[in-house]
Amino acid sequence: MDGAREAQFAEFVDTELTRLLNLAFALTGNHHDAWDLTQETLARVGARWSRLKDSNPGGYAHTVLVRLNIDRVRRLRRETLGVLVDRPAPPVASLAEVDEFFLSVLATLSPSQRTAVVLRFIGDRDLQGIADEMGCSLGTAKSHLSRGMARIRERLDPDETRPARQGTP
Amino acid sequence: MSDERDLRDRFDALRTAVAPLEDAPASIERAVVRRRRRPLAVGGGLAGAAAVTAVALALLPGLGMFPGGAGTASMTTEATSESATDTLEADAPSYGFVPVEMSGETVGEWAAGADVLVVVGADDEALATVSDVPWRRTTTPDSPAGSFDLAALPIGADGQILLSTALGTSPEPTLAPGSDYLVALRWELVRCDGAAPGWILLGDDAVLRYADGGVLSDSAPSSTADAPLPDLDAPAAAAFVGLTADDVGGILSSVIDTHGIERARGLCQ
Repeated sequence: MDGAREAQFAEFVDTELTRLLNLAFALTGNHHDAWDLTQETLARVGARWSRLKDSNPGGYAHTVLVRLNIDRVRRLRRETLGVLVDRPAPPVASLAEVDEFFLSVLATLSPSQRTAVVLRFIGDRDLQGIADEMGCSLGTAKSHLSRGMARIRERLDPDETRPARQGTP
Repeated sequence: MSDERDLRDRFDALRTAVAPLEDAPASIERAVVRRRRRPLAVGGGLAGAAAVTAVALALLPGLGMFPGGAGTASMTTEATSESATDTLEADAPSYGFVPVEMSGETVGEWAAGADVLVVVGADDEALATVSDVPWRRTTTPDSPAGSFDLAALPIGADGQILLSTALGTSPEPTLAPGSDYLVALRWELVRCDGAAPGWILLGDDAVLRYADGGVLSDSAPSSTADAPLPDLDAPAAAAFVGLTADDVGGILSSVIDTHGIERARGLCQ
Protein backbone atom coordinates (compact mmCIF):
# COMPACT_ATOMS: atom_id res chain seq x y z
CA MET A 1 0.00 0.00 0.00
CA ASP A 2 1.32 3.44 -0.77
CA GLY A 3 1.24 6.22 1.78
CA ALA A 4 -2.07 7.72 0.72
CA ARG A 5 -3.86 4.39 0.73
CA GLU A 6 -2.29 3.47 4.05
CA ALA A 7 -3.65 6.66 5.50
CA GLN A 8 -7.07 5.95 4.02
CA PHE A 9 -7.11 2.48 5.49
CA ALA A 10 -5.94 3.75 8.86
CA GLU A 11 -8.82 6.21 8.83
CA PHE A 12 -11.20 3.43 7.91
CA VAL A 13 -9.93 1.32 10.81
CA ASP A 14 -10.29 4.27 13.13
CA THR A 15 -13.91 4.74 12.03
CA GLU A 16 -15.05 1.12 11.92
CA LEU A 17 -13.01 -0.69 14.53
CA THR A 18 -15.26 -0.09 17.52
CA ARG A 19 -18.44 -0.90 15.61
CA LEU A 20 -17.02 -4.14 14.22
CA LEU A 21 -15.53 -5.12 17.56
CA ASN A 22 -18.87 -4.73 19.33
CA LEU A 23 -20.64 -6.69 16.60
CA ALA A 24 -18.05 -9.45 17.03
CA PHE A 25 -18.43 -9.33 20.80
CA ALA A 26 -22.19 -9.78 20.50
CA LEU A 27 -21.63 -12.73 18.17
CA THR A 28 -18.99 -14.47 20.26
CA GLY A 29 -19.47 -13.28 23.82
CA ASN A 30 -15.82 -12.89 24.74
CA HIS A 31 -12.93 -10.54 24.12
CA HIS A 32 -10.54 -13.06 22.59
CA ASP A 33 -12.82 -14.33 19.86
CA ALA A 34 -14.26 -10.89 19.23
CA TRP A 35 -10.76 -9.56 18.67
CA ASP A 36 -9.67 -12.48 16.49
CA LEU A 37 -12.74 -12.04 14.35
CA THR A 38 -12.35 -8.28 14.06
CA GLN A 39 -8.64 -8.43 13.33
CA GLU A 40 -9.04 -11.14 10.71
CA THR A 41 -11.85 -9.17 9.06
CA LEU A 42 -9.87 -5.95 8.91
CA ALA A 43 -6.77 -7.79 7.75
CA ARG A 44 -8.75 -9.10 4.81
CA VAL A 45 -10.17 -5.68 4.06
CA GLY A 46 -6.72 -4.13 4.33
CA ALA A 47 -5.16 -6.72 2.06
CA ARG A 48 -7.53 -5.73 -0.72
CA TRP A 49 -7.96 -2.10 0.19
CA SER A 50 -6.99 -0.79 -3.24
CA ARG A 51 -10.01 -2.54 -4.73
CA LEU A 52 -12.42 -1.86 -1.89
CA LYS A 53 -11.71 1.71 -0.93
CA ASP A 54 -14.00 3.24 -3.54
CA SER A 55 -16.92 0.85 -2.99
CA ASN A 56 -18.46 0.12 0.37
CA PRO A 57 -15.66 -1.21 2.55
CA GLY A 58 -17.74 -0.86 5.73
CA GLY A 59 -20.51 -3.05 4.35
CA TYR A 60 -17.99 -5.50 3.01
CA ALA A 61 -16.26 -5.73 6.38
CA HIS A 62 -19.59 -6.28 8.12
CA THR A 63 -20.49 -9.18 5.84
CA VAL A 64 -17.04 -10.74 6.00
CA LEU A 65 -17.12 -10.65 9.79
CA VAL A 66 -20.53 -12.32 9.95
CA ARG A 67 -19.56 -15.04 7.49
CA LEU A 68 -16.17 -15.60 9.06
CA ASN A 69 -17.92 -16.21 12.34
CA ILE A 70 -20.31 -18.75 10.82
CA ASP A 71 -17.37 -20.38 9.08
CA ARG A 72 -15.31 -20.61 12.24
CA VAL A 73 -18.14 -21.86 14.40
CA ARG A 74 -18.83 -24.62 11.91
CA ARG A 75 -15.14 -25.51 11.79
CA LEU A 76 -15.05 -25.66 15.56
CA ARG A 77 -17.94 -28.06 15.56
CA ARG A 78 -16.00 -30.45 13.37
CA GLU A 79 -13.03 -30.32 15.68
CA THR A 80 -13.12 -30.88 19.37
CA LEU A 81 -15.53 -28.33 20.62
CA GLY A 82 -14.27 -25.33 22.51
CA VAL A 83 -10.58 -26.15 22.71
CA LEU A 84 -8.82 -23.39 24.57
CA VAL A 85 -5.20 -22.52 24.02
CA ASP A 86 -3.03 -19.94 25.72
CA ARG A 87 -3.21 -16.64 23.95
CA PRO A 88 -1.97 -13.19 24.72
CA ALA A 89 -4.57 -10.81 26.07
CA PRO A 90 -6.41 -9.09 23.21
CA PRO A 91 -6.27 -5.29 22.95
CA VAL A 92 -9.87 -5.01 24.04
CA ALA A 93 -11.41 -3.41 27.12
CA SER A 94 -14.88 -3.60 28.55
CA LEU A 95 -16.54 -0.21 28.79
CA ALA A 96 -19.01 -1.25 31.44
CA GLU A 97 -19.80 -4.28 33.51
CA VAL A 98 -20.66 -7.00 31.03
CA ASP A 99 -24.18 -8.39 31.19
CA GLU A 100 -22.99 -11.96 31.66
CA PHE A 101 -26.51 -13.25 32.13
CA PHE A 102 -27.65 -11.91 28.78
CA LEU A 103 -24.51 -13.28 27.10
CA SER A 104 -25.27 -16.68 28.59
CA VAL A 105 -28.77 -16.42 27.15
CA LEU A 106 -27.37 -15.58 23.71
CA ALA A 107 -24.99 -18.53 24.03
CA THR A 108 -27.93 -20.91 24.12
CA LEU A 109 -28.99 -19.90 20.61
CA SER A 110 -27.86 -21.82 17.58
CA PRO A 111 -25.17 -19.99 15.58
CA SER A 112 -27.67 -19.04 12.89
CA GLN A 113 -30.21 -17.78 15.40
CA ARG A 114 -27.61 -15.75 17.24
CA THR A 115 -26.33 -14.26 14.01
CA ALA A 116 -29.82 -13.26 12.91
CA VAL A 117 -30.66 -11.73 16.26
CA VAL A 118 -27.40 -9.82 16.52
CA LEU A 119 -27.70 -8.52 12.97
CA ARG A 120 -31.20 -7.28 13.76
CA PHE A 121 -30.53 -5.63 17.09
CA ILE A 122 -26.86 -4.73 16.95
CA GLY A 123 -26.36 -4.40 13.21
CA ASP A 124 -29.75 -2.72 12.62
CA ARG A 125 -30.40 -4.93 9.61
CA ASP A 126 -33.89 -5.61 8.30
CA LEU A 127 -34.89 -9.12 7.27
CA GLN A 128 -33.53 -8.72 3.75
CA GLY A 129 -30.27 -7.40 5.12
CA ILE A 130 -30.01 -10.35 7.49
CA ALA A 131 -30.68 -12.78 4.64
CA ASP A 132 -28.09 -11.08 2.44
CA GLU A 133 -25.39 -11.11 5.09
CA MET A 134 -26.06 -14.68 6.15
CA GLY A 135 -26.37 -15.85 2.55
CA CYS A 136 -29.76 -17.44 3.06
CA SER A 137 -33.33 -16.94 1.89
CA LEU A 138 -35.66 -14.38 3.40
CA GLY A 139 -37.80 -17.13 4.89
CA THR A 140 -34.83 -18.81 6.50
CA ALA A 141 -33.63 -15.52 7.97
CA LYS A 142 -37.10 -14.87 9.33
CA SER A 143 -37.19 -18.32 10.87
CA HIS A 144 -33.77 -17.91 12.51
CA LEU A 145 -34.77 -14.51 13.89
CA SER A 146 -38.14 -15.56 15.24
CA ARG A 147 -36.82 -18.76 16.80
CA GLY A 148 -33.91 -16.91 18.30
CA MET A 149 -36.15 -14.25 19.78
CA ALA A 150 -38.54 -16.86 21.11
CA ARG A 151 -35.69 -18.62 22.85
CA ILE A 152 -34.39 -15.38 24.32
CA ARG A 153 -37.83 -14.43 25.62
CA GLU A 154 -38.22 -17.89 27.08
CA ARG A 155 -34.94 -17.47 28.95
CA LEU A 156 -35.82 -13.94 30.06
CA ASP A 157 -39.18 -15.04 31.33
CA PRO A 158 -40.06 -12.64 34.14
CA ASP A 159 -41.26 -15.53 36.25
CA GLU A 160 -37.76 -16.89 36.37
CA THR A 161 -35.29 -15.62 38.90
CA ARG A 162 -32.56 -13.79 37.08
CA PRO A 163 -30.10 -11.05 37.80
CA ALA A 164 -31.23 -7.59 36.77
CA ARG A 165 -29.38 -5.95 33.94
CA GLN A 166 -26.67 -3.59 35.10
CA GLY A 167 -28.09 -0.13 35.42
CA THR A 168 -31.67 -1.27 35.20
CA PRO A 169 -33.76 0.29 37.94
CA MET B 1 -40.04 -1.46 32.55
CA SER B 2 -41.63 -3.76 29.95
CA ASP B 3 -39.93 -6.94 28.86
CA GLU B 4 -39.50 -5.57 25.34
CA ARG B 5 -37.87 -2.45 26.67
CA ASP B 6 -35.66 -4.52 28.93
CA LEU B 7 -34.66 -6.65 25.97
CA ARG B 8 -33.82 -3.64 23.82
CA ASP B 9 -31.83 -2.11 26.65
CA ARG B 10 -29.80 -5.28 26.96
CA PHE B 11 -29.05 -5.23 23.24
CA ASP B 12 -28.27 -1.52 23.32
CA ALA B 13 -25.80 -2.12 26.14
CA LEU B 14 -24.07 -4.70 23.94
CA ARG B 15 -23.57 -2.13 21.17
CA THR B 16 -21.02 -0.31 23.27
CA ALA B 17 -19.83 -3.08 25.55
CA VAL B 18 -16.20 -3.11 24.45
CA ALA B 19 -13.61 -0.76 23.00
CA PRO B 20 -10.26 -1.33 21.31
CA LEU B 21 -7.17 -0.44 23.29
CA GLU B 22 -4.58 1.97 21.99
CA ASP B 23 -2.40 -0.66 20.35
CA ALA B 24 -5.26 -2.31 18.45
CA PRO B 25 -4.77 -0.43 15.14
CA ALA B 26 -1.07 -1.32 15.10
CA SER B 27 -1.96 -4.94 15.64
CA ILE B 28 -4.33 -4.79 12.68
CA GLU B 29 -1.64 -3.18 10.54
CA ARG B 30 0.68 -6.08 11.30
CA ALA B 31 -2.09 -8.55 10.47
CA VAL B 32 -2.64 -6.84 7.11
CA VAL B 33 1.07 -7.12 6.31
CA ARG B 34 1.08 -10.81 7.24
CA ARG B 35 -1.95 -11.45 5.07
CA ARG B 36 -0.50 -9.61 2.08
CA ARG B 37 2.59 -11.80 2.29
CA ARG B 38 0.46 -14.93 2.41
CA PRO B 39 -0.29 -16.63 -0.92
CA LEU B 40 -3.92 -16.49 -1.97
CA ALA B 41 -4.19 -20.24 -2.08
CA VAL B 42 -1.73 -22.86 -0.97
CA GLY B 43 -1.52 -26.34 -2.32
CA GLY B 44 0.44 -25.54 -5.44
CA GLY B 45 -2.08 -26.60 -7.99
CA LEU B 46 -4.41 -23.66 -7.73
CA ALA B 47 -3.63 -21.03 -10.26
CA GLY B 48 -6.00 -18.25 -9.44
CA ALA B 49 -9.09 -16.91 -7.82
CA ALA B 50 -11.41 -18.81 -10.15
CA ALA B 51 -9.84 -22.08 -9.12
CA VAL B 52 -10.09 -21.12 -5.48
CA THR B 53 -13.77 -20.37 -5.87
CA ALA B 54 -14.31 -23.72 -7.54
CA VAL B 55 -12.66 -25.44 -4.61
CA ALA B 56 -14.82 -23.42 -2.27
CA LEU B 57 -17.92 -24.70 -3.97
CA ALA B 58 -16.65 -28.24 -3.66
CA LEU B 59 -15.48 -27.98 -0.07
CA LEU B 60 -18.19 -25.89 1.45
CA PRO B 61 -21.49 -26.85 -0.09
CA GLY B 62 -23.35 -26.60 3.17
CA LEU B 63 -22.26 -23.19 4.32
CA GLY B 64 -25.11 -21.33 2.71
CA MET B 65 -22.77 -18.65 1.45
CA PHE B 66 -24.12 -18.34 -2.04
CA PRO B 67 -27.02 -15.91 -2.20
CA GLY B 68 -28.42 -15.62 -5.65
CA GLY B 69 -28.82 -11.84 -5.79
CA ALA B 70 -26.77 -10.24 -8.52
CA GLY B 71 -25.97 -7.32 -6.26
CA THR B 72 -24.02 -9.51 -3.88
CA ALA B 73 -22.32 -11.77 -6.41
CA SER B 74 -18.95 -10.12 -6.22
CA MET B 75 -18.95 -10.04 -2.44
CA THR B 76 -20.00 -13.67 -2.27
CA THR B 77 -17.20 -14.82 -4.51
CA GLU B 78 -14.58 -13.00 -2.54
CA ALA B 79 -15.79 -13.99 0.88
CA THR B 80 -16.21 -17.59 -0.19
CA SER B 81 -12.77 -17.70 -1.71
CA GLU B 82 -11.34 -16.57 1.58
CA SER B 83 -13.17 -19.35 3.37
CA ALA B 84 -11.75 -21.92 1.00
CA THR B 85 -8.32 -20.43 1.44
CA ASP B 86 -8.67 -20.77 5.17
CA THR B 87 -9.76 -24.36 4.85
CA LEU B 88 -6.82 -25.16 2.62
CA GLU B 89 -4.29 -23.30 4.68
CA ALA B 90 -5.56 -24.57 7.99
CA ASP B 91 -2.93 -22.39 9.60
CA ALA B 92 -5.13 -20.44 11.95
CA PRO B 93 -5.55 -22.01 15.36
CA SER B 94 -9.12 -22.58 16.44
CA TYR B 95 -9.73 -20.59 19.52
CA GLY B 96 -12.24 -21.11 22.24
CA PHE B 97 -15.57 -19.83 21.12
CA VAL B 98 -18.31 -20.29 23.63
CA PRO B 99 -19.59 -23.86 23.42
CA VAL B 100 -21.84 -24.47 20.47
CA GLU B 101 -23.98 -27.53 20.30
CA MET B 102 -24.30 -29.51 17.11
CA SER B 103 -27.30 -28.80 14.98
CA GLY B 104 -27.16 -32.09 13.12
CA GLU B 105 -27.24 -30.14 9.91
CA THR B 106 -24.29 -31.77 8.17
CA VAL B 107 -23.21 -35.30 7.33
CA GLY B 108 -20.04 -34.67 9.33
CA GLU B 109 -22.05 -33.87 12.44
CA TRP B 110 -24.12 -37.02 12.07
CA ALA B 111 -20.96 -39.06 11.59
CA ALA B 112 -19.15 -37.53 14.55
CA GLY B 113 -22.06 -37.01 16.89
CA ALA B 114 -24.81 -39.57 16.43
CA ASP B 115 -24.78 -42.88 18.29
CA VAL B 116 -27.95 -44.39 16.86
CA LEU B 117 -30.39 -43.67 14.07
CA VAL B 118 -33.99 -44.50 14.73
CA VAL B 119 -37.12 -44.45 12.62
CA VAL B 120 -40.02 -43.21 14.67
CA GLY B 121 -43.68 -42.78 13.95
CA ALA B 122 -45.51 -40.02 15.77
CA ASP B 123 -48.93 -41.08 16.97
CA ASP B 124 -51.61 -39.19 18.79
CA GLU B 125 -50.30 -40.29 22.16
CA ALA B 126 -47.45 -38.63 23.94
CA LEU B 127 -44.94 -40.96 22.32
CA ALA B 128 -43.25 -41.47 19.00
CA THR B 129 -42.87 -45.21 18.60
CA VAL B 130 -39.51 -46.53 17.45
CA SER B 131 -40.15 -48.83 14.51
CA ASP B 132 -36.57 -49.45 13.45
CA VAL B 133 -33.00 -48.87 14.64
CA PRO B 134 -31.16 -49.00 11.31
CA TRP B 135 -27.76 -47.96 12.61
CA ARG B 136 -25.74 -48.00 15.82
CA ARG B 137 -22.23 -46.68 16.28
CA THR B 138 -20.00 -49.67 16.80
CA THR B 139 -17.07 -47.98 18.52
CA THR B 140 -18.65 -46.18 21.42
CA PRO B 141 -16.69 -46.72 24.59
CA ASP B 142 -18.82 -44.34 26.59
CA SER B 143 -22.12 -44.92 24.87
CA PRO B 144 -24.58 -47.79 25.25
CA ALA B 145 -25.54 -47.62 21.58
CA GLY B 146 -25.29 -51.39 21.31
CA SER B 147 -27.95 -51.82 23.93
CA PHE B 148 -30.20 -49.01 22.80
CA ASP B 149 -33.63 -50.15 23.82
CA LEU B 150 -35.90 -47.13 23.80
CA ALA B 151 -39.22 -48.31 22.45
CA ALA B 152 -40.48 -44.78 22.00
CA LEU B 153 -39.41 -41.16 22.23
CA PRO B 154 -41.45 -38.91 24.49
CA ILE B 155 -43.17 -36.08 22.64
CA GLY B 156 -45.01 -33.05 23.94
CA ALA B 157 -48.45 -31.69 23.23
CA ASP B 158 -47.18 -29.71 20.25
CA GLY B 159 -45.27 -32.65 18.83
CA GLN B 160 -41.88 -31.56 20.11
CA ILE B 161 -39.41 -34.30 21.02
CA LEU B 162 -38.92 -34.21 24.76
CA LEU B 163 -35.25 -35.12 24.63
CA SER B 164 -33.15 -32.06 25.30
CA THR B 165 -30.17 -31.14 23.17
CA ALA B 166 -26.65 -31.08 24.59
CA LEU B 167 -26.99 -27.70 26.25
CA GLY B 168 -30.21 -28.75 27.89
CA THR B 169 -32.33 -26.66 25.56
CA SER B 170 -35.60 -27.80 24.09
CA PRO B 171 -35.34 -29.13 20.54
CA GLU B 172 -37.12 -27.11 17.90
CA PRO B 173 -38.45 -29.73 15.48
CA THR B 174 -41.97 -31.00 15.95
CA LEU B 175 -43.35 -34.32 14.79
CA ALA B 176 -46.65 -34.37 12.94
CA PRO B 177 -49.04 -37.12 14.02
CA GLY B 178 -49.19 -39.96 11.53
CA SER B 179 -45.82 -39.17 9.99
CA ASP B 180 -42.53 -41.06 10.23
CA TYR B 181 -39.10 -39.59 10.83
CA LEU B 182 -35.47 -40.63 10.73
CA VAL B 183 -33.87 -39.24 13.88
CA ALA B 184 -30.23 -39.08 14.99
CA LEU B 185 -29.76 -39.59 18.73
CA ARG B 186 -26.70 -39.32 20.90
CA TRP B 187 -25.81 -40.65 24.33
CA GLU B 188 -24.65 -37.75 26.46
CA LEU B 189 -22.63 -38.82 29.43
CA VAL B 190 -22.16 -35.36 30.93
CA ARG B 191 -25.09 -33.04 30.39
CA CYS B 192 -24.58 -29.31 30.30
CA ASP B 193 -27.66 -28.80 32.43
CA GLY B 194 -26.48 -31.27 35.05
CA ALA B 195 -29.07 -33.89 34.16
CA ALA B 196 -28.28 -37.60 34.42
CA PRO B 197 -26.63 -39.30 31.43
CA GLY B 198 -29.14 -40.11 28.76
CA TRP B 199 -30.22 -40.00 25.16
CA ILE B 200 -30.52 -36.61 23.55
CA LEU B 201 -31.47 -35.36 20.14
CA LEU B 202 -28.26 -34.70 18.19
CA GLY B 203 -29.54 -31.25 17.24
CA ASP B 204 -32.42 -29.30 15.85
CA ASP B 205 -31.67 -30.48 12.30
CA ALA B 206 -31.27 -34.14 13.21
CA VAL B 207 -34.87 -35.02 12.33
CA LEU B 208 -35.70 -35.91 8.72
CA ARG B 209 -39.13 -36.80 7.34
CA TYR B 210 -39.27 -40.42 6.30
CA ALA B 211 -41.96 -41.96 4.09
CA ASP B 212 -42.33 -44.88 1.70
CA GLY B 213 -38.96 -46.23 2.74
CA GLY B 214 -37.00 -43.10 2.01
CA VAL B 215 -35.90 -39.75 3.46
CA LEU B 216 -38.04 -36.85 2.34
CA SER B 217 -36.59 -33.38 2.02
CA ASP B 218 -37.12 -30.10 0.25
CA SER B 219 -33.46 -30.25 -0.69
CA ALA B 220 -32.30 -31.55 -4.03
CA PRO B 221 -30.59 -34.92 -3.65
CA SER B 222 -26.82 -34.73 -3.51
CA SER B 223 -26.05 -38.43 -3.28
CA THR B 224 -27.44 -41.89 -3.86
CA ALA B 225 -26.63 -45.18 -2.26
CA ASP B 226 -24.22 -45.95 -5.09
CA ALA B 227 -22.71 -42.48 -5.40
CA PRO B 228 -19.40 -41.41 -3.87
CA LEU B 229 -19.60 -40.49 -0.23
CA PRO B 230 -21.01 -37.04 0.53
CA ASP B 231 -18.77 -34.28 1.77
CA LEU B 232 -18.63 -33.86 5.52
CA ASP B 233 -20.09 -30.39 5.14
CA ALA B 234 -22.95 -31.54 2.94
CA PRO B 235 -26.35 -30.93 4.53
CA ALA B 236 -27.69 -34.25 5.79
CA ALA B 237 -31.13 -33.43 4.40
CA ALA B 238 -29.72 -33.21 0.88
CA ALA B 239 -27.20 -36.03 1.21
CA PHE B 240 -29.74 -38.53 2.49
CA VAL B 241 -32.86 -37.57 0.53
CA GLY B 242 -34.49 -40.59 -1.12
CA LEU B 243 -32.30 -43.09 0.72
CA THR B 244 -33.58 -45.84 2.96
CA ALA B 245 -32.71 -45.71 6.64
CA ASP B 246 -30.37 -48.68 6.15
CA ASP B 247 -28.58 -46.90 3.33
CA VAL B 248 -28.16 -43.79 5.48
CA GLY B 249 -26.64 -45.98 8.18
CA GLY B 250 -24.33 -47.57 5.62
CA ILE B 251 -23.20 -44.17 4.42
CA LEU B 252 -22.52 -43.03 7.98
CA SER B 253 -20.37 -46.10 8.63
CA SER B 254 -18.47 -45.54 5.38
CA VAL B 255 -17.95 -41.87 6.12
CA ILE B 256 -16.62 -42.72 9.58
CA ASP B 257 -14.26 -45.36 8.22
CA THR B 258 -13.11 -43.35 5.22
CA HIS B 259 -12.33 -40.19 7.14
CA GLY B 260 -11.26 -41.90 10.35
CA ILE B 261 -13.81 -39.90 12.29
CA GLU B 262 -13.76 -40.33 16.03
CA ARG B 263 -16.83 -39.84 18.12
CA ALA B 264 -17.08 -36.17 19.09
CA ARG B 265 -16.41 -35.44 22.71
CA GLY B 266 -19.39 -34.34 24.71
CA LEU B 267 -20.03 -30.63 24.70
CA CYS B 268 -19.73 -30.36 28.47
CA GLN B 269 -17.20 -33.11 29.16
